[in-house]
Amino acid sequence: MEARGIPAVVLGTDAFLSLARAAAGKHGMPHLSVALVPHPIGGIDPAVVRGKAETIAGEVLDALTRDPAAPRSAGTATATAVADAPDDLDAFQAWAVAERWSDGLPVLPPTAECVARVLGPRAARRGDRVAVLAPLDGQATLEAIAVNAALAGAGPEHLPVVVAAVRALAEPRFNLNAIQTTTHPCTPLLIVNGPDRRAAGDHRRAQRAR
Amino acid sequence: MAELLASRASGVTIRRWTKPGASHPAAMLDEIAASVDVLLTGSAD
Repeated sequence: MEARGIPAVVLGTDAFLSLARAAAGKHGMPHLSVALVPHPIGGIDPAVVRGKAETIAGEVLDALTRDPAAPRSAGTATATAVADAPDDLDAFQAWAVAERWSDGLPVLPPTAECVARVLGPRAARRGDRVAVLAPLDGQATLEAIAVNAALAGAGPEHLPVVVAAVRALAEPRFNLNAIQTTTHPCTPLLIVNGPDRRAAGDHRRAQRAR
Repeated sequence: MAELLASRASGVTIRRWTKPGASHPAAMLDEIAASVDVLLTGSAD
């Protein structure tokens, strides 16, 4: 609506600030006004909700009556970037956690050689876009997927399954945007079956053999 | 919020639209754009 010239303000609670900013930036409206009250507003006395609203009413009125900034086109990352990382695996793990590339599970350095190995014969098509991922329209190229697969310790035998999984995530029916942006604790579960399961390694048998 | 703002001005009409769910796209944008002078949109729980 703001892009159509209608003054608009996004109302929410402070738990949604990062989502509101990300969505506004994605749509080329980083200046979009966002007015927040302390979380939550659901499940509480309506009088308390009204009290929270009163604290930002002046801010909302100001935002609705000042000249808006012009929209700009949204930009999306289309290429992978190279970073200098520690050589030591323990140091790399700590660094990856600090960069928020790991949630604490072990990761491996996705070096150029490692990514090339994971890509294998697909290396010539590394720039092919497999999917566009919500909420920020991330460009999931073969190379980007291979980088993430290498980071997680996957090999070339796993890449077809990972690529299929990324395609499935991006299916509109799956509604990845809702999963990625909700404050509820949900995450995709991937169940692999069929010939590609065997090609990628049957972990049931590996566990049975232990 | 709309009621608070309306209480500070005269001649204000409040209209409300609700999506079928938070994760559903808004299918009524054209109707809203043709109907309002200013817009408040919200998402929270």
